[in-house]
Formats: sequence, structure tokens, C-alpha cells
Amino acid sequence: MHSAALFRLFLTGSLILRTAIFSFSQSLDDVTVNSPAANTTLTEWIGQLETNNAVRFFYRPEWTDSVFINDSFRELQLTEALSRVVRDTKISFNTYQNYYIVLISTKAVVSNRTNVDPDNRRMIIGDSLLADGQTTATVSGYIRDGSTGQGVAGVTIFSQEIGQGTSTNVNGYYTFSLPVGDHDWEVKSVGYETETRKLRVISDGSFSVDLFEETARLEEITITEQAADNNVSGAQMSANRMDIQRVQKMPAFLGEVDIINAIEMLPGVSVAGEGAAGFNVRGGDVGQNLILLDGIPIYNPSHLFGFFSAFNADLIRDATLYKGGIPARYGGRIASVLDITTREGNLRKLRVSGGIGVVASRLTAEIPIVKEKSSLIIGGRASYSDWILNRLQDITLRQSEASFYDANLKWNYRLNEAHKIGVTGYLSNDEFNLANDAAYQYQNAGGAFHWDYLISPKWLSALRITQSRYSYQITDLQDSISASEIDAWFDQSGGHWNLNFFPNEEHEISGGLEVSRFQFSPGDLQPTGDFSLIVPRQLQEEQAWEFSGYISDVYQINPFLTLTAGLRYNYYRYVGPREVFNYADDRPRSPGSITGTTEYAEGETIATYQGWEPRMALRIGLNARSSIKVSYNRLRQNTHLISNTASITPTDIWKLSDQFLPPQIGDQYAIGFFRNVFNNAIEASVEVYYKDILNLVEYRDGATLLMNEQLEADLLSGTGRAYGAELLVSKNIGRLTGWLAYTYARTLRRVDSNLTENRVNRGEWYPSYFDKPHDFTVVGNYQFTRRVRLGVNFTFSSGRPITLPESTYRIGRFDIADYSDRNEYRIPPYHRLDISFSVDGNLKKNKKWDSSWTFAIYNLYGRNNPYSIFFQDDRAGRLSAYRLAILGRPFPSITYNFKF
Amino acid sequence: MKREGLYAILFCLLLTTCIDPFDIGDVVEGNSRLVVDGLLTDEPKAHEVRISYSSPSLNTFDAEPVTNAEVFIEVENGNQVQLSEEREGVYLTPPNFAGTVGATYTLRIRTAENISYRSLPETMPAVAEIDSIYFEPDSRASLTSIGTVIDEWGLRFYLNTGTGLPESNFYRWEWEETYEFIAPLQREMQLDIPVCYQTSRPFRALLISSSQDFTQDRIERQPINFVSKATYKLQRRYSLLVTQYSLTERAFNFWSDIEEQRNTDGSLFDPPPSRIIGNMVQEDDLDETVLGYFQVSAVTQKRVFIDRTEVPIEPGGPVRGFSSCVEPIEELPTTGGEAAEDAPPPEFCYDCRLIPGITTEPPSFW
Repeated sequence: MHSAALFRLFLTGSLILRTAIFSFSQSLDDVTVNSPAANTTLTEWIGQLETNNAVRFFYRPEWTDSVFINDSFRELQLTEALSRVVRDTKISFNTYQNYYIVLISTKAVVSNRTNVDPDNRRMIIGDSLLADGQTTATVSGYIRDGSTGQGVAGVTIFSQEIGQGTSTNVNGYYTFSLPVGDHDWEVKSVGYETETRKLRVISDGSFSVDLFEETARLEEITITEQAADNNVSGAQMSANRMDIQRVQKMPAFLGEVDIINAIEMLPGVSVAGEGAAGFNVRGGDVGQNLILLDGIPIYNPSHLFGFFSAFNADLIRDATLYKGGIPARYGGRIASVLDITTREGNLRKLRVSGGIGVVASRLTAEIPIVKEKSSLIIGGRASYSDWILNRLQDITLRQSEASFYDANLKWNYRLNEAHKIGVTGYLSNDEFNLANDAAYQYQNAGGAFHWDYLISPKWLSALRITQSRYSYQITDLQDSISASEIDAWFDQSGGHWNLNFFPNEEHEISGGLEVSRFQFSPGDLQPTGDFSLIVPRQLQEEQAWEFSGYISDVYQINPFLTLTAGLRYNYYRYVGPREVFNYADDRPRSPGSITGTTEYAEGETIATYQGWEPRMALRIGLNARSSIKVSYNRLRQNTHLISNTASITPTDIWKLSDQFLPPQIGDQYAIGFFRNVFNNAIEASVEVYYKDILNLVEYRDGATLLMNEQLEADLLSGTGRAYGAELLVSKNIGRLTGWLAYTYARTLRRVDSNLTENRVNRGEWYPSYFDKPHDFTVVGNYQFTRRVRLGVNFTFSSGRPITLPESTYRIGRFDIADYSDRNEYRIPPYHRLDISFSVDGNLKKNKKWDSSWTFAIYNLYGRNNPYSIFFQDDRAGRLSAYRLAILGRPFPSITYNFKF
Repeated sequence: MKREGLYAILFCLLLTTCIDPFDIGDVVEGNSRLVVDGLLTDEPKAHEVRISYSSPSLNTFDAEPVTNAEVFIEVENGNQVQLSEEREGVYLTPPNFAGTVGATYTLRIRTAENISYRSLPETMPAVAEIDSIYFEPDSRASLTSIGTVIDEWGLRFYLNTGTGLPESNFYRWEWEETYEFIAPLQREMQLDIPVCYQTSRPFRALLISSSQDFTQDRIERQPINFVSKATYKLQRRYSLLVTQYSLTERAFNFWSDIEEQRNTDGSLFDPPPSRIIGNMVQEDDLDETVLGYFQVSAVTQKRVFIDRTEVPIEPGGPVRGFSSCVEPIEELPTTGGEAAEDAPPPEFCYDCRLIPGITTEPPSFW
């Protein structure tokens, strides 16, 4: 008898195990158990159950340590036995996929008890004692990753009954107001299996769900970005969220997964050329993008001058790019916001992952510090790119060296359900020695402290304190009388406090304050070597304060109309100590027009700027499958990238608004039509925008930007306008996923003045360096089998504008080119195809060692894309035109990734 | 700061080439503008001003000369010096005309179409004597035909200048080298071994510098040229003549712009190319673009000689040269069919007089 029961248990157990791998259907119900020895704690019993049965528990030992099992039962269904055991405790439980059992402690919210209704297996939320005739209730809780315990952001919770939903915030927390009664919930997120829950809501209460990563065991990979119909139903327009899982499936240059390159494949985002650092969003300069890494502003987002991004993909969770309709909580740069969130460490077990590629290797460790509460993630990446340089035919490059590394750290601690604190650290470094002649080095370093406080289910406070520094050094390596070193650094420190308030289901109000202190040292020149006669010279440091306050409300007027209204006020103060030049008004600023200097004491105000930044968005739902969205936003920018090249270079400086350089102001109007078809399988959108930019920074011909004491004399103030249409069709579900984007965009500049010298192209409109009217991209991913997938990228864009010589002349023995008006011509169009092929390791759910191989070819058909056209003396000494193509042949790469 | 124009090829990972000649002819509409190239120094001689229209075609240099223009130099005291058209587009001052340091000059032009142009007033800056020209053994990287990098050794010449003239901060240099050599091979019974002299000027080296950023009003260790030991220039005796021109700050900026333009390499790190603004304007329309420069400089020169004995053997070994002049190896009849296919060395290996551009008379300064 006893042995027969054991046999049966074994049989069902193995059956469960087998089915568990594939479908997890009908298993838990078949598990029958006997009561353990007397005075066994629940913790011990769970251990025994997990050993002997195909079942897995999620719980915190502090709940179960004090629960003793004194009941005796035989061959009882596991769920029933468990119900008995926890009957008089503060513990309830949920089952998932007939395999997982998640214990829930109701201690935290004593009055809000969640129980299983034994009859129809609905979770009961709230307490009938408190129900008191309520007709609506607010349910709040966390949606967590079941394997790491971390909250999952952007999960949608949808109630089928009322046809409404909500989504979790960055911490995985949600609040959902809904009528009392029975609800079938659908909980969905990218990369996770969708969970459904049957609930009976009685009164306010809490309810948390663990989600599990969809793994290769799924027949069909389903990737949904936010809610299935977020494209149509969400209030936000002109924003794209990129999950790192999606980025990892795209072919990457030399196998380095690159979030910035992925962003560049989106409509409305362009890049000046291959290997150019930074990106241009809807006609904005590279310096007009706010790039935040866990809230830390990053000034130079690239490695190796732009061939790779400065962010290690292994440490990134997701990134959201706002091209328009920028929420009021962001400010400081006028073109876009790229908000990158790094991953949090696993709260449950130690994990190590890494990868080996042809350019760099990566290693990441996730260390739980306090189980379920605190974890640390540390990751690093280092290159061995000298190897590439040594393969080159060019003599100068053979003698050159290039290398980079970056490191990330994130520690977080969940004090309790209400408080969570965290620290993020980031460091990136690049070094490049040019033919033993000059060395370039640049670094980004930053840190952030976060404190999230859930004051009540309706109030959420988030405080962030950040510090960021971008610095570079340029050193002559050869001794000469002009040998020197230039050091520059740009510091920004600040605090940002945001308060969210969810008064009811119609409103989502947020407000906050932001303060930043800027301290820039644009250059310190020092002699180096034995022979140098260079006069040490330091440009004056700049200081400024910026204060911003904002409030916004997402108001769901009715199911078809959502209004987002926000207002931000920005106050900027440029302060001493500083000695400033005064210039004659009637002449262009130049050394000759200086009339004197004014001395400002420390802290004394030199210039102030302030203004409103309205943000508005309206969503008009036409039906369940289509909507129209309209938005307007204004942003102000007080930090200016001073660069007259088309890319961020390691010699560019940043400058603060001062009495000569007013803040750049960008106004953007956008309207879009959004439609989902085939049951949200295909999302389509068309957006049209128009943008006006005031006080753009432009440059005189032949401007000197480095170590220039009178920089203002080389700068010009311009206006810009950009307009365009973006078409995006994406497929997020099925074996074939990806998107197709076409953008028509123009971006124009005008620098006019009553002084001839202060005009560019006689004060007429001209195209900017990155004006590429046509841009077409296709990103595709095809899942052949569970383990094998193919990724394809194709991109086509018009050539960027350039300035070409219209004639040549000779001075002495030198041929000189006489250049046309700025940006009058274009280089030929750009197109390129990349593919990648990935094979994942074994598919077992509980595998110890997880690995994958990725083979990629960048520029598959070896298109010799012209990067630029330039002029040099040919062998005969005649000035001749040359076309430069970089990466003009296929670049294969192989990358190995592992995780254990 | 250095911007050696090398970024571009940084990631030109091609083993063939990624820089191709590009025919720009059909992309750009040519546009001709007036170009002035004039230099007035403090040497007594006929100074030259060339006036032309810029070449609208980029493929062939076709600069149409401006003829029959009325050209004169206005001195600050109101005196005028008339220039005469020597040949098409080339106008000369009277012989023995010399500028004076500290005097201000303006070039005035009236074309046959009756359009007037003038230069901005230029004041001739003083020039300091060249203190010294000296050399140090040095190497430069050189790529062999099989793709390896080797060090090519030789002498690098440097210049020190600029004492006691605080107002003269800006210089440009030109140089010229002369060397004595003989043919490396002699035929049997050859009695006459001629000695040859060759004078050459650099291909196109633009050497400018200023002391404006330096602690002292001096320019030291200004690199002038590199003479490889692999050539025959150091075979017997070598001479280097350096001419130093003083520049105004505006002229220096003009030359710096030219230097920057010559250093562009097409990378995104290049500053955007732009028109180089000189010091010429059209009298009636200040907005019209006139190209070129009327430069006013004081000049000084210095010559040095290096004997073969002064060239150190180490590093880099002794002076070589005439790499193509290898005496044929005697054919060994025993090797049968594998007869050496070495061509006989060229004739100039036996007679240096066959090398173009040489003289057998020592130059006057030798």
C-alpha cells in the first residue's frame, strides 16, 4: 500500500516533469502528499516537497519559518494540503502554470487579505468586512520577474470585463481602479509569458504577480512591446521603447550589441555617417539629445569615436527614445531624450554571464546580498582593438593604438514594500594613440543614488541624486617646442524629485523639481616634454545653476480621449567668478572689437534665462484599432555642444549659456495616425512633425573651437527648422518580427544678421550636415526553430550634404580649393545590409550553463558607401577629389555568450 | 593642436583601398573668381603679382590670366609703384624695388573691365636672423613592398630663430637642398668620373609657425626636412638653404587655413571645409569674394653644409643610395637554363650626368 502510493507518486511526478517541460498542463492537481513529521516547519516541508515533487515554491523564509505543521493528512492534493497548513496564518498562495506555487504574505496589508475562493478558484481581493458598499476599489501591487524578484516595468494589466488596463511603473508597481466584482486579468510584458488571473475584487487590496521569462521552449516567440495595443491606446506618441532582448537579436557591427545603433534604425533618427558618434533626432544636432543612464546624463555616448556605443548591452534593461511629445519630467536638451535603464541584479541566486567577441569581451556578475531584498550587479567590458589596427595596411595606423573599456555597477535594496533605494555607478574610458604622435583619451564617469518611496497606493515619490563628469585629455607624444597637453572636463551634478499621484482612474498627476549645478573647465593647456616652450594657459571655468519645476496630468476624459497636459518652468543662472569681454555692438565680435572686460565675483550672476516649457498631447481614439495623436512640446537647452564637425569628437567642448549665447529653444508640433491590424499583430503609424529651433549654435568659417578664450567671437546664432513624415510598420508577434520604417525629413538652418560677417550663405536657408531627406530601414528577425534565428537589417538613406570646391587656384606652389556655400552638395546615397545568425545552447529550463553563438556579417554585399569627399594633392601635386569609404567591405564577426 | 589628417583612414579596414579618386566634374558647377597671388619683400628685385581667374574645372587646371590690368602698389606716404605686365597675368615691380620693414603697402588693381580691387593695408613685419640650422639622426616609418613596416633612418633638420624681435611672431619657411654626388658604378677602364650637383626644392611643404603661444619669443626645433640615408643626397656633401619670411598675423592665419585645408582627410572629425579668406576686396562691392593674398614679408636666409663624414653611421647604418644600381652578377655557365634575368643597371649608374636636372659645375656658393 505504502509502496504503491510511492510508486504512484513517482509516476505522476515523472509525468509532471515530462509535461512540465513542454506545457505544464495538468500537474499540480495530481500531486498528492502526506503530512510531514510533527513540528516540521513550513520551510522544511517546502524543501521536502521540492525535492520529491515537480513543484517549485516562491516564498520568503521569514514567513514560513514560524509556521509549524501539526495537521496530519494522507494523499491529499498538494494545494488542498497547503490550504490547510496556511489556514490560520498570514500566508496565502497562488499557483502558476501548474508548476509554481507562490506564497504571499498578507502581513504587510493586514486589512487587505487576499484569499483563494475555494469554489470557483478566484483570488479574492480585499476584505468583505471593509467592502461596505464600495462600488469601485483600487488594487495595487507589484509585478515581478519570477526568477530574479525584480519589479518589471511597463507591464500591462488588463481587465477583460471592463476593457481597461493599467501599467506598472519603473519599479514594477501598479495601481488599478476598477469596479468591484469578478475580473479576468491579463498581465503582459515583453519577453515574459502572459499570465491570466481570475479575481474577485471586494474592496481596496493588494495583488502581486510573478512573471516568467518566455523561454525557448515556447513554440512561437512572442514579443510585445508594452500593451499589445499600446501603439493605439497609449497616450504617448513619438516614443519608441527598445528592450535589450530585441536589440540583441539585431545584427551588430563586429558582434558588439549596440543600443545606439539600434536606435538609429528607428524612423526619425539618423546618423551623419558610419562610425559617427551621436545621432540626430528629427533635425536635431547630436548635442541636443539628453542621454540618461539611470538618470545620469552622459555627454559622450560612444567608444572609439563612435564605432561602438559606450553602453555595455549586458547591463541594460531597456531604453526609451522620446522624439516628440516629451514628458514634462524631462528637460535640458531640445531634440530628444534617450532614457536608458540598467538591469538590477538577481535577488535569488548568483549569476555570471559574459561574452567573447572579436573586438571586446564582457563579464557580468549578479550577486544577491540580502535574499529577496538586495542585490548587486557589476559588469565590465574591455577591448582588444589594437588587433584591428595591426591588420591595416596604413603605416600610421600600424603605429597607432586604440582601446576602450567600460564598467557598470548597480546596487539596490528593497527596505520594505514601500521603500527602495539604489546606487548606480558608471565609468567609460577610451584611449587612442595616433602614430606615437598624439594621444587622445576621454572618460565618462557618473553615479546616481535613487530612493523610491511608495507613500500610499496613490502617491509615489522618486528621488534621484546624480553626478556626471565627461573629461578628455589630448597629449603630444613627441617632443617639440609646441608639445602640450590639453585637459578639459565637464561636471554636472543635480537632484531630481518626482511625485506621482493617482487620484482616480481618470487622472495620473505628476510633479517634480529638478536642480542642476554645472561646472565646466573647457581647457587647460600645459607644456609637456623637455623642449616645450608652450605658455601654460587655462581657460576660465564656467559655473551655472539650473532650477526646474514641472507638473503634468494624464487625463483620461473618456475611453476615446486622453489629454496629457504638462508645464515646466526653467530658471538658469550663469555665475562668476569670471572675467568677461565686452564687445562693441556695431561690429562683429572679434579680438579687435573688444572694448573692455568686466570682472564678476564668485557666485555673482552674469546672465539669467528663464521660461516656460509647455508640453501637450491629445489622443483621440477612433475605435479599438486606430487613433489619432497630436502633441506639442517646447524645450530649453542651456548646455551647448560646441562642435563644427558632423560627429562628436574627443576634442569637442561643452559650453554653458552665457551673456552671448542664449539658451536654444525647440518647439515641436506633431500629429500622428496609429492603427493596429490583425489583432495587434501589426502596428502601423504615420507621424508628421514640424520643428522650430531658436538660438542654434553655428560657427564662422574657419572657427577655432579648442582653447579659444574668445569663443563667442567664433560662434554665430542661427535658427533652424525641421519637418518630416515618418512611417512605421512593425510586427511584434510570430516567428517573423521586425519593422519597416520610412522617413522623409528635412532639416534647415539659417544664420542671418545685419552684419555681413555674421551671416552664413548670405543669410539664406541651407541644409544642415545631417539633412538626409529619404531614409528607409528594415529590421527583421526570423525564428527558424527554438534555438536558431536569423536577423537582418537593411538601411538606405540619402547622402548627407557637403561643401565642395567650385574652383581651384594657386598661391605660390600650392593648389587651393575655393569652396561653395555651406552644404550645397550631397554625397551619393548610403545603403547597407547586415545579417546575423544565432544558435542558442540547450533548452532545458534549469540548465546550469547557458550559451549562444552569434555569427554576423556587417555590410553583407560590401557596399562602398561614400563617407565623404575630400581634396588632396595627387602624385602630380594637383588638387584632386577623393572619396572616402569606411567599412566598405563585408565585416564578419563571431561572438560567444554565456550565462551560469 | 595636432590634427594630422589621419582619422579618416582609422577604420579603413580594407586591405585594398577605401580612398578612391572621385570624379567631381559632373557634380559641381565651376565658378571663376579673381585670384591675386603677390609677394613683396625687402629684397631689391622685381616683385611679382600674379592675377588670374580661378580654374572652374577641377580636373584640369585652367586659370585664365587677367591681362591688361592696371596694377600698382600704394605705399603709406601716398607714393605709388606701378607694376608692368611682363607676361599674361604676371605683373612685375621695377627691378631693384624693395619694401621697407614697418612700411604699409596696399595693392591696387583695375582690370580691363574697369573693376577695381585692392588689398587690405599690410605692414611689413621685421624678420629675425635664423640662429641655427642643425640636424639629428632620426627615423621615419616606411612601408616595404611586402607590407612590413621598417624604420628608415636619416637626418632631420631643425631650425632655431627669433631673438629680440618681440613684434615678429609669425614665420613661414621655404627650403632648397643641393648635393654633390658621383655615379655609384664605374666601368672598367673608366677614366673620367664626373662630379654632379643637383638642386631640388620640396614637393609642396608648407612650413609655418608662430611664437604667440610660447613662453619665449623664439621658435626652436622647427622641423624643416628629413634626408633619408637611403638616398644618395648624403653621399658626398649636402647643403640646405632655408629662407625665412616674416608674416603679419593675418597672413599667418591665411596660411594656417591653407594648411588646415591641405590636412583634411574626409573624416567626420574634419572641420567643415570653407572658403579661405585672404586680404583682397573689390572696391565697390565688399561682399564679392576675391581670392588670394598680397603678402608683405621681410626675408632672411641661412645655408648649412653637411659632409659625409659628419653623418653618423649609427643608428641606421651607413649611407646607401642608388638602390637600382646593382652590378650584374656574372652568369655562371653551370646553372644551365636558369640564366639570371637581371637587366643591366641603367646607364646613369655609370654616369651621373645622365640624371636630369644636374649640373657638373659647382654652384657659386659651394
